[in-house]
Amino acid sequence: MSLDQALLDDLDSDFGSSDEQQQELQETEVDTNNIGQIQGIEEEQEKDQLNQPSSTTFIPLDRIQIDQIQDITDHTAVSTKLQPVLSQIHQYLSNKFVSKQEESQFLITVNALSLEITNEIIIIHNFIKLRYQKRYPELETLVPNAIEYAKLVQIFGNELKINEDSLYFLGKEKLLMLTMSTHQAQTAGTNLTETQLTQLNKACELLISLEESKRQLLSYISDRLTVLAPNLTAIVGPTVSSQLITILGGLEGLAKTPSCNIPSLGSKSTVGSLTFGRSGSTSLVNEGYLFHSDLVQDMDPSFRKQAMRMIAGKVILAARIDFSGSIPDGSQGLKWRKEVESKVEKLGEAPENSKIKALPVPKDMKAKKRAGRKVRKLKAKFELSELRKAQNVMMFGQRENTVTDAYGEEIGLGITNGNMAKIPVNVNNKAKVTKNMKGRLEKSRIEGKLTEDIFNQDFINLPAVPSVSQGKKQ
Amino acid sequence: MGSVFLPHLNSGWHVDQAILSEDERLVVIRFGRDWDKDCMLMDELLYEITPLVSNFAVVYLCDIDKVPDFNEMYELYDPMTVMFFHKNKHMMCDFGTGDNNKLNFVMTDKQELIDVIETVYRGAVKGKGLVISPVQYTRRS
Repeated sequence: MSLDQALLDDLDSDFGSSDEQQQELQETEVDTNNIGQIQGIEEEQEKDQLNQPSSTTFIPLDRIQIDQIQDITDHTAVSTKLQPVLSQIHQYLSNKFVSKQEESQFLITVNALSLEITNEIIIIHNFIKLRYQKRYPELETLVPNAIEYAKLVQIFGNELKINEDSLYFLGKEKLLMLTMSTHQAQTAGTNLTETQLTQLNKACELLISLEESKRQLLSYISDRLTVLAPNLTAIVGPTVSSQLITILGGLEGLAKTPSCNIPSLGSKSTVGSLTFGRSGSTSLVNEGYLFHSDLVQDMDPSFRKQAMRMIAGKVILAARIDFSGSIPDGSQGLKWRKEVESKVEKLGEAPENSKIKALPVPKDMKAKKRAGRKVRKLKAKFELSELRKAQNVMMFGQRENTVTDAYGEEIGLGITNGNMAKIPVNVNNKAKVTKNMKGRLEKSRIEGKLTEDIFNQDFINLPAVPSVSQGKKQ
Repeated sequence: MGSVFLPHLNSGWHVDQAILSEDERLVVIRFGRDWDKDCMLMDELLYEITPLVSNFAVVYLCDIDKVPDFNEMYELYDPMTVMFFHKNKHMMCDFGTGDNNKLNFVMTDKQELIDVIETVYRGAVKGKGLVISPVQYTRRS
């Protein structure tokens, strides 16, 4: 949201007020018309002939060869679609009571349209560049921005005169650079014919008007998305959320998508011509819509992949919340955004220095006792019993008696042979009771007897109360 | 570099207090001069082992030019001397060098120095005045 707003503001400041711009446009239009009238009829006829096939069989812009067409304004598919949408936007903005479902559907069409406009702007930009190269080849490298380029082409025409007042939209440094190279270009390059100039002007106008309407669409989207998907927009901003919603056919679609699919949405491999990032880049990271969100772009490139995974998870959760409409103020989305930011910040922190562990004090331990009276006694406790010892001994030349145990294993009885009376019982390993324990056992035995007494009393027939209280006192 | 980080004892009183105030740990004092090559090498080694032996030994440095009080008493005539004290008692150690009162040669191995300090500490705790170093440093010629 914030970035988008900032961008819009930038656009505003770049363009000056929109009224001014409109005026400018109208003026240029008038100029071109005049020129057109002054031109001979022959040329007009020529133009008509060239345009005829394209106007009868409409070819969409992305398929046509730019260098073959004369007038690009006849090929725009978007401008016809734009009018009804813009009027509908006005309608929606003025009318507060629109159903959510309806508006979300409309948002999707608006979003798709804005994408189309972006594509078209690129194509028109290419068209203008191709034409204007003959007059001023360096301009396209000096001014890469499509809008600035179009404006400059309109102002320069064939003359290439620099008037600082009309170039207010450029920065100071850019202006200086432009002035220097324009002086050289004034003599170089071939002049364009009047028809070519009119066509160029038309194309420039179209580009600028498209940009303006795109700005309107985007501002509408960012305005409405905060209502439709507040948590989602809080995390990734209105632009990316609208892109995600559009490509998945609505908030419901987004809510049903697993988070692992989000980063690849809008990346080159999935949408082909829709994205226009760096060409020929072989990045391991999916450069989709999410990648181009401000949240990801602000991060260190080495953490982007991890961050995208985190954000994708939160995006889906936020989409589900928004779909259910349980948190309409977007507070949860904001919380998640902060969470992701802090997590990534932590990722970037250097690992803590491990402290050097001091050696233990070299204390001499007492040696282990291996003999003596006490140790002997202790060992006797864990000795084999006499019975076991006897079991391990066998008589010579006699068959041993055996027993089968629960597991079906045969166990030899050795010389025990069933008559255990002869074998002494081992007394060493008997459980020993300390004096304290004896006292405690005695005490509990007495108490146990008392409780037994209580339970055995005949509560029904006897006045047993005194005896019980006596017992307690004891 | 080690001499920068290790604490210096700047007067005879400081040396006395360092030895007196330590009740449980061994006090290891390097007598010498910070700029001396031998001292530099030894200080580096001492600085490296200080955190390791911090449970049972504490290391100080003392400049024998600034603090000449002990030079005669302990015969501090070598460029570098390390001495051990425990509970205000001077600990002797047989290194095989002929001088049992002090360590007056540069060691190169951290573990060896730790072993020596451990041995001295063990002996000191048991109340012995002289211990035998785990490694003998008899000069091989």
